[in-house]
Amino acid sequence: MPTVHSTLSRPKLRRFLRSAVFFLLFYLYVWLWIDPGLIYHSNWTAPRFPCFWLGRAFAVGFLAYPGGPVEYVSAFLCQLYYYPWLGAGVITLVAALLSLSTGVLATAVSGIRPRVLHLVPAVLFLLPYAKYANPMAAGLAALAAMLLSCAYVLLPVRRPPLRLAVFLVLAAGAYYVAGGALLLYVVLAAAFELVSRRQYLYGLLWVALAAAIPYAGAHAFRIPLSDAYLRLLPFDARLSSQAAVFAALLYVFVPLCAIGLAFGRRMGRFLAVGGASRERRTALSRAAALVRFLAERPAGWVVQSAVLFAVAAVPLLLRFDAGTRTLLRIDCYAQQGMWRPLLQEATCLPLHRYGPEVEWDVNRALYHTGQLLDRMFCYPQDTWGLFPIPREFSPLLASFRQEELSAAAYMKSADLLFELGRVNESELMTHETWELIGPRPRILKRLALINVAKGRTEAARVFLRALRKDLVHGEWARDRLRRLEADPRLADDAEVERLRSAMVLEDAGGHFSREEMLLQLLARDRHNRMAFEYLMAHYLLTRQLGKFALHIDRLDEFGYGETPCHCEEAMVLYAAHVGGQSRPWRRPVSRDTALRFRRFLQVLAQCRDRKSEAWSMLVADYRDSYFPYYVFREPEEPQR
Amino acid sequence: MKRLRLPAVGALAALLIAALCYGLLSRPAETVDYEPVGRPPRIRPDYADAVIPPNIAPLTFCVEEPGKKYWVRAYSDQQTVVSVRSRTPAIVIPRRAWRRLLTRARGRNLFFEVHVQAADGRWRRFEPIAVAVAREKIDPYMVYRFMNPIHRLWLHMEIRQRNLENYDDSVVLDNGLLGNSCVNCHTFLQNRPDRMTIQIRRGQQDYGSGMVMVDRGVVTKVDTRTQLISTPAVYVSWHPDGTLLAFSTNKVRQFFHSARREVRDVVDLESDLALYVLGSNSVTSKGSIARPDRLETWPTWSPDGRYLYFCSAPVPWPLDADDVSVERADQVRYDLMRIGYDAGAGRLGELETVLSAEQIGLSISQPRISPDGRFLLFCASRYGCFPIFQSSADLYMLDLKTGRHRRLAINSDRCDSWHSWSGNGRWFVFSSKRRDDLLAKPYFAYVEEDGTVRKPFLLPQADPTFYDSLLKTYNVPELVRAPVPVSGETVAHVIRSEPWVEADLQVTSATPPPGSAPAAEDAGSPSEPRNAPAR
Repeated sequence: MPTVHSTLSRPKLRRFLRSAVFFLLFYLYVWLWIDPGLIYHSNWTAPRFPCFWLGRAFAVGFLAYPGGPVEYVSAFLCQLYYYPWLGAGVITLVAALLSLSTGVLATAVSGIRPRVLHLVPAVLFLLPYAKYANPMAAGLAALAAMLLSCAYVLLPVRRPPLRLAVFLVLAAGAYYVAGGALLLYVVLAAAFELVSRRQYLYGLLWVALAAAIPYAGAHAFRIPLSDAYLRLLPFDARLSSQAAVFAALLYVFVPLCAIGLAFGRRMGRFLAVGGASRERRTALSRAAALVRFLAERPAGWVVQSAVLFAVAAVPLLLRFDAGTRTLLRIDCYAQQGMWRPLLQEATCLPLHRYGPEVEWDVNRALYHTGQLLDRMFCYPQDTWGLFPIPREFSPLLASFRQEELSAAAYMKSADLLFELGRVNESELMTHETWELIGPRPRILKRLALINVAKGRTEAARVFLRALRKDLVHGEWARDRLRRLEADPRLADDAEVERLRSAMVLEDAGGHFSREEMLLQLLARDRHNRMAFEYLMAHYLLTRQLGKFALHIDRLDEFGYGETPCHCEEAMVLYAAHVGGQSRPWRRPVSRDTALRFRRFLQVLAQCRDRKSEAWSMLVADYRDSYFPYYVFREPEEPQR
Repeated sequence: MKRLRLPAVGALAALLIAALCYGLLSRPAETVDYEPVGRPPRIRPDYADAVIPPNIAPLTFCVEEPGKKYWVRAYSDQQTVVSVRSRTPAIVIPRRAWRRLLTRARGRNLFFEVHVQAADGRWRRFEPIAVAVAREKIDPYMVYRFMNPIHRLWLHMEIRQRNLENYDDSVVLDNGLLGNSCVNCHTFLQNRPDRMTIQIRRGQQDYGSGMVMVDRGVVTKVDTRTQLISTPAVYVSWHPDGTLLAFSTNKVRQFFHSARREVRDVVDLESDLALYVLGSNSVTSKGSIARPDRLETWPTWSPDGRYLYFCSAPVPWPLDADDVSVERADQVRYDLMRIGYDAGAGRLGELETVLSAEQIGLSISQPRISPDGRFLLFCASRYGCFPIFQSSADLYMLDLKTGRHRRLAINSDRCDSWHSWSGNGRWFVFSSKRRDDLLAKPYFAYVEEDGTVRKPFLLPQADPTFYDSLLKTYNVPELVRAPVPVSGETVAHVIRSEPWVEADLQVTSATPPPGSAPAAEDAGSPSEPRNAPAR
């Protein structure tokens, strides 16, 4: 008997080992390659990404409709993405449970334990993450339905009335917890009755009864019928397209897997018993031998596992969106003030993926690393890529690629304006973001600081008290509340003090140009370095070299030793324009810059009107220079 | 099993006894010595010395005194005492007990005696807080707009109703059902919820802009724009006989301040008044209420229907201006005017200045007359006609009998505006930003017969910390006698699917007498609404 036991346990052990290796790789892939932190940081402006607040009031709202409990848990779990290792653990756990329940259900319905097919739902669950979408709610809804299906098939209830009662109780539970995912529960329970127990009447009755549950739910919870039937199903408009595709595939795959295995088994029996020709029986015995080899021999196990991992890796590699990851990293680094890594990422970004939001971040990073006037033309630039002004904002949004980005764009502009010292404009843009996506933690933080800086301490407290309920940023809010108790002005907060010293005090209504906004900031605080550099960059971008020349000597006030590269280039361009007239600056221009300009002019003269030819000759040496921007760039058309 | 029964029963009994002992020992007994504190405690919201109606929901509050246990005795006399104990500073009085208390205290004072146990275990007793309970009830419902402090974009807003006698709160109209249209300025006929108008402005989905009228269960949507009136109705007032609406049409421009505390501001580049006759579905406007050189807005009828009060200011910019500077907007100050109205003949009379901006030194807006016609409550701010964005906005009372006006003592140094009278004229609700200068909350004030206004109180909530982190603003609170009888789904269905009923322009200065169609020679043949109103 021990021998028999060991032959039985070895395949189990191998299966367990394979699953363990699979989910270990799964975890590492999610943690180190995808990085859930990026989903948290960059999806927060997506209206679909849930926010989560501690406290009864928030939870109660979710209990009031079918599917609410799953959405509540999903909202909680999504906050854990903030910690990438933990987020990866959560995603892996959900995927593992999906696999486990698929295995249980397939075994119950077909009588065959699937060797690798039960891992397919985990791969399906991972696919949206490879595109940086968030299928957590859809995944949890499906999981809840599948777990309840497992309970249904495993409960040893045979008497029909009792079985009906169990089905209905579990169905009601599935509906309340997971909304429309009830469909999956019903399909699996009916499949079990039809295929495994061959109770055709029950199977059909279950489907008919379950169809009425959402209808009753619509009346009981006073929700629209469409909501009652479709919430958390693949057809739910609230799900992202990636999550919807995942859910659709899962809803089709799990029942088909279970039913397919059952029919496969019956077909195998039929063929084995003599229902097939001799040739077929020979082929069948060969297939059986192959299956035995794969299942029982160590070499077979290795082959089977290798094939499985390869098959699983292919869609993940094909679907993985590296460009999106770079964009998200840029955004994430900007939020965290990691300016040098941001610039590194920006250099890897293909030109066609640059948009205003990237340019704002890149220019901020250049400013923070002291390179704005030296290296800004190493990156694509547009006149509106420096910082947005509220009036231009609506048409600008049209150029964003995704709907969700509009909220991100509003918030990025709020960040930029906040940093410059345009407090009221930043407040306006933050409120616009709030209206688009609701009161998210970053919005509350920003408004709290703005209101403290403006002396509206009570309003700041309201925002901080709301933020206190956030899992991730709650401690920050509690700390600020404590400090506000001690000092309502938060005078020891460097950010607030910087803002106070920079913010415009003289009120004016209406719309201002970028130049006016920056000049107002410099009039308020002539040491506002960011405003100064942005003003100079603005003059460069708009080719206003006359105004640029008037301000160039202010570099001394900001402690510049050497003249920044682009400033020197602008100075020689200005000098070339004005000819022999006197120059309004004292700074010298390096000989190297003058020589480069001379060479540049020679090539231009050589090519005359043939701009593209000139550019092809110059591109190697002048790619990072201001000269080509000034000469080749059409004033109105953004360079892409 | 039998062997287990005895120990189980014993354990249960021990647990019960322990719980009983704990309860008895931990509760402050009457005999325990208290250290008296010679002042009332600080509580949030501050209800001390406020006057409350006898039908208000329980006042919940937080004791802002440090301690580990709290005990509050609420009483009006020594016969009716309600005792509330709490391990947190949040004090919630049970509804039934509260109802009993209010019944006993009607017309008298109600006291809250607060005891706090300090960390060292000693109890402190504070001086009682007194709250006066008025004899007169307040209208039991408040209809209000609930929204974020929106700036330019709007997506989510609701018109809601709150039962003031308990904490029930429900949606009247959710703009999510209307493609995120802006829903605003709900107006009722004499606090009657069955006769209401709501203004709609198109949102992400275009269901048009105009006025939705709910008239005794019938919902219609009316476009009051005509050849001469290019903008939809904004501020509306029902004539007391229910046959006529006065409304303003405003060309509104929003602008933003670069350095003020409040970023937002609004100016009316143009505005006029007009009348809409329900029976004939016609609109009329007369020179004296639609002068090109004046900005007329905020119409309100006197309770007897003989006068139309409104605000009016000279236009300080060119007539075709599309934008104005802040300096110009700062100069606009509105007078309070009125014009006679002969309901029998349907004619407007002479124009009079009731209170000029010069007299008061401020700009007047939002006039609302008490149901008895004695007092006119209005808002006055430094400039303009949109006080909600100005911290200088305060409430003033004009005695229409004596002609005297005064600034109310209940004002804060922040914005107080958007007031609405209760049907009996003893109460009004108003929106105030006194708590945080950003988000408006509804406060209720009692008005004595001589017009004295007593200290207001904040709308009570089931959770006393409700407002601490509330990120919404209460806008346009209106008191009504009962809940709105039409569901939001019905209203939304009409807005989504029914065509707009276009009002006819009546080219005469006379409005048809109530209940009659316009004269044929004045406005052509009588016209009924072109589309049957939907229920």
